Amino acid sequence: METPWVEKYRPKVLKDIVGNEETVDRLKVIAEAGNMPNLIIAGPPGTGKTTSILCLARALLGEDVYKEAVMETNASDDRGIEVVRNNIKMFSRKKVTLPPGRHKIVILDEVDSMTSAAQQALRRTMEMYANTTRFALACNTSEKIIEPIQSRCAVLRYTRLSDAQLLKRLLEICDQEMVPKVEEGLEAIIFTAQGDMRQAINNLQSTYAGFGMVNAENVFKVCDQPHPLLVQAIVAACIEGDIDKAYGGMQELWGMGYAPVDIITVFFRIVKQYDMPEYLTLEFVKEIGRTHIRVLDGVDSFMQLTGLLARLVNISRAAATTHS
Amino acid sequence: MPRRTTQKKKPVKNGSGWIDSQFARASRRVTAEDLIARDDAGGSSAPKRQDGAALWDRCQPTTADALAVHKKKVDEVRGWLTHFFSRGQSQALASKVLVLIGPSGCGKTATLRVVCRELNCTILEWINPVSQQRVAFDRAGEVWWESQRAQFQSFLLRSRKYRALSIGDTTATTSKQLILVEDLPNYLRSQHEVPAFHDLLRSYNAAAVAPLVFVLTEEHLGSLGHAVSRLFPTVVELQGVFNTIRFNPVAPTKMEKALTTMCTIAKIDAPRSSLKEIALQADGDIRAACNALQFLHRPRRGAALPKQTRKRSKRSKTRAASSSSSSSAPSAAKAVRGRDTSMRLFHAVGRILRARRRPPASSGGPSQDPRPKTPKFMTQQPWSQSPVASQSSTPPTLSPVRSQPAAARRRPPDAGGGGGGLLMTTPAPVQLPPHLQHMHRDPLDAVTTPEETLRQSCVSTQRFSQFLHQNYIDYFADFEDLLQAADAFSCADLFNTDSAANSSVASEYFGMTLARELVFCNTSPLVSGWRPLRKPVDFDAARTHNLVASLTRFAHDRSIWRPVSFTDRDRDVADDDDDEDDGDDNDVGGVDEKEVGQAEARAEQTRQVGGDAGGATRSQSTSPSSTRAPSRVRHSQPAATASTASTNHTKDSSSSSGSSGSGMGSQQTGPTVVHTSVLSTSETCTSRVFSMQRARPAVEEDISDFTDSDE
Repeated sequence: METPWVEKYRPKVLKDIVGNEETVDRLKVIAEAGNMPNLIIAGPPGTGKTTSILCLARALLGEDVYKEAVMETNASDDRGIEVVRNNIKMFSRKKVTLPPGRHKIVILDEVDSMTSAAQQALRRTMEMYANTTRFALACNTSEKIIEPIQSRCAVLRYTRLSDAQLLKRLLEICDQEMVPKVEEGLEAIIFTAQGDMRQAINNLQSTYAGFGMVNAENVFKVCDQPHPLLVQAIVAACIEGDIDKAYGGMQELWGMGYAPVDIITVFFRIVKQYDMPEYLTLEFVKEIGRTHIRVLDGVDSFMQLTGLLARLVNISRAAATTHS
Repeated sequence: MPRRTTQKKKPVKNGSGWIDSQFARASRRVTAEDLIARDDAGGSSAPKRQDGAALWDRCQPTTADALAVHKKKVDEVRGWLTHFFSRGQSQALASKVLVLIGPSGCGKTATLRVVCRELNCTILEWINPVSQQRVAFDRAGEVWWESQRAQFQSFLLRSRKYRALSIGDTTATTSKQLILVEDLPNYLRSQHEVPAFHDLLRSYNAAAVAPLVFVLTEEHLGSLGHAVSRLFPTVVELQGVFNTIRFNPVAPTKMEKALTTMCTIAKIDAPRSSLKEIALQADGDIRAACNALQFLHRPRRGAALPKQTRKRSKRSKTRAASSSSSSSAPSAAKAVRGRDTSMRLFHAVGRILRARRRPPASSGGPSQDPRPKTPKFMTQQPWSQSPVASQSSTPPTLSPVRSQPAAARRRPPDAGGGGGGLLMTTPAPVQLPPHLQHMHRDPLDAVTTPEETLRQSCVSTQRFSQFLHQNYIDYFADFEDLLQAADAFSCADLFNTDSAANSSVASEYFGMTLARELVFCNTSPLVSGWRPLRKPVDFDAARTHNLVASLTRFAHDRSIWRPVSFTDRDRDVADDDDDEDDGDDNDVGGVDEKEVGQAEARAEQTRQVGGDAGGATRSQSTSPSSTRAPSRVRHSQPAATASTASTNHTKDSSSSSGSSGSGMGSQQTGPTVVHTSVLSTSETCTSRVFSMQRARPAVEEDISDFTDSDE
């Protein structure tokens, strides 16, 4: 069984990390100089937060003591207040012989899933053992981290990767894995990934494993998302005020068995990109958003989707759009 | 060379979990008076070098002058402690508990430590023991367990007998000692423990000889915990159980000065502008600023770092590449912020509220403002079998697809193919009809879209909308626009609900509906002139709300307040719009004429009180401290109540706002001070209600709401 490409191509050194150059540059300097401050890396999924921390830890400590001097936990581990107070504290007290300027590192992935009580328990530990142990935290939203902890760390923000950055990495992987690909296929992957490198690589691998060829059709089949072209046709029909056509398109999508959430997500993305007056975009987005919330609430019937179409057509009819 | 990995002595810990605190030792070890002197001495006299320590630890101030805290605050803390140590047994009745409250990183602990050094006072700190329960053996040799509560209690109550262990240190022979609790015992998380905790404090006041200091972080409202308002409510403070000193965030000028000092200590070359930026970003949190400084700037080579000659060339190369001192550091500072600051947030808010549009003449291009461009697969060009391998050698060649001008990208209409059965129509440019021309907008003149701005601001959509909502009105010139903006807020709020917030696209919807719509509907934004952006009053309102709620709950628990129907005689004082008649007329006089303790006793019989609250009340009246409740006023004549209360209220509010140490401190807003002073003046219910109504009818309505919900 082949390893997932996400793991296979996870960068091992800091310089391989894609995106967020400025922050990663600073991490490189720290990796050379040692004396890492406590860190919080916050950012959306798939932007390299955990990878950065792992690379940093490896660069600081080296492979041989890595196992001994690094404690890694993530949300799947039990991280109740007990663990913070016992395991982490015990680890902080542990004696490990390290070169000067190096410290043991506690890596807490997905800190935002820790209860605030556990975080409270963490905060004194961070201070008491600051001479021997440093903390590196990763989270999606730093708001869920209590302020005392934020205050004790340097908070780094990672932003979503740009399409070009995703593309560059995907091309590298394609070259190494000899993946047959077309330009549209990669663009489709990027479209579905929305700045999430992990998802992009996963989709690439699944498409390759499933079809052997990365083109747009296959990508959307694998990702089980409605093809944006179909959705775009529906949106176009809505703008024209042609309810029959829009309804037909939606019926076809529904018949293909796509989940309503997926349909409406793609719908939103298409409307966002569609070249129409800002006024219409905003009105459309409002309607789609409301419907999306209903769908999320569990009211995911065909009726909701077609109702959305009707409302959109209404908006365009009221605007009485004319084509140039 | 196992030099400095676990260099410090392990904290000395005995069985019940109290520890000679690390900073007590730190303060004793230090000999030099000045910061810099201390650091320099660190190499020679102190056994360890400091290079491995975090900058924060190395820069701990040791003198009052080095503190970044306002002088008056230091004086306040010093005054409290000096007073405590100097007073004799005659004044032993006053509170022995001090609570330091403030946002994180404002110097609470540092101040305490410095003052303790000055007073030659050792610190005994409670640290939560590692395992929840302590194993002990009784005489029969059986194992038994002790709860953390018991441990904490015995720690507090027995600490006067034992002092901190002084290992290898002879300077600790001072007689003064202070007990510090920074790490709140975990058992206090439970709401049920709060009354017992207050009782513990009361018995501590009665018995202990050493001051007990709690250092608490004031967190944002809405965060979990609320340790401050829960464990140390104002009403208990007013009974003299504890005193409070509130700290403010560190002022930017002080922060800058402190950062400069840190740079001297750590031998960091940082440009002034960079320091300024860090100080601004840190938002009053000096620890965060220090961390940011450490992250952004490395010390001068060979100064504090261990010597690594082989790496030297490489490192200097890195330095040259990143040019850490001048050019890249300020820009990197944007990516590295101290913590969630409002600084960046204000930028984002301003960018949305001040958004401009390009005049149509200059725009030229047919395209909309910077919206994501349509990917190539959307244009459905038949895939040309151009060899991919040749392209792959130059990876970025594919990327310019995104940056092609929109007109060039647009597919000619006849090239359309069937998209999976649907007849694909070209996305033709749609234009608004004449009657909707007022909805036409020129392209945005901005580097980023509003949605992008929102994403870059790195705060939750909820918070962002609060800030926008607080400030947006100032930027609108047209009333119609304002209406539309208000509509946008209500619509965007839909995406802030719990069910939506879990979805990843919620923020995108939010960005479109609020950020973009605000930009959209503001046809003539007022961009000229300086309009300060304010933080949402929501925060302060919520704080006041909490205070009022706690006061009400307190009054309710002690049965000294209830919805009152006013007699005819009193009506001239009360507001007309009070609608809380419960038919309790008989009780009013009773409460007034009797002393509060009696009223309590009586009310306990007549009134059903929750079990916990009843227990608290009973223990209050029996404990010695309840007789010392400050300024208890007995009102004999109901008629006089109103006037007495109102005069008391004005007098007291002026005095308590003058002395920030007592009462709620100078930070509080006006109405809060009023309530506090009213409470401290008299504990009789009617006068309180009257004064509140006089002061602020709206707040009084709040109270009635609470009482109703409580009942």
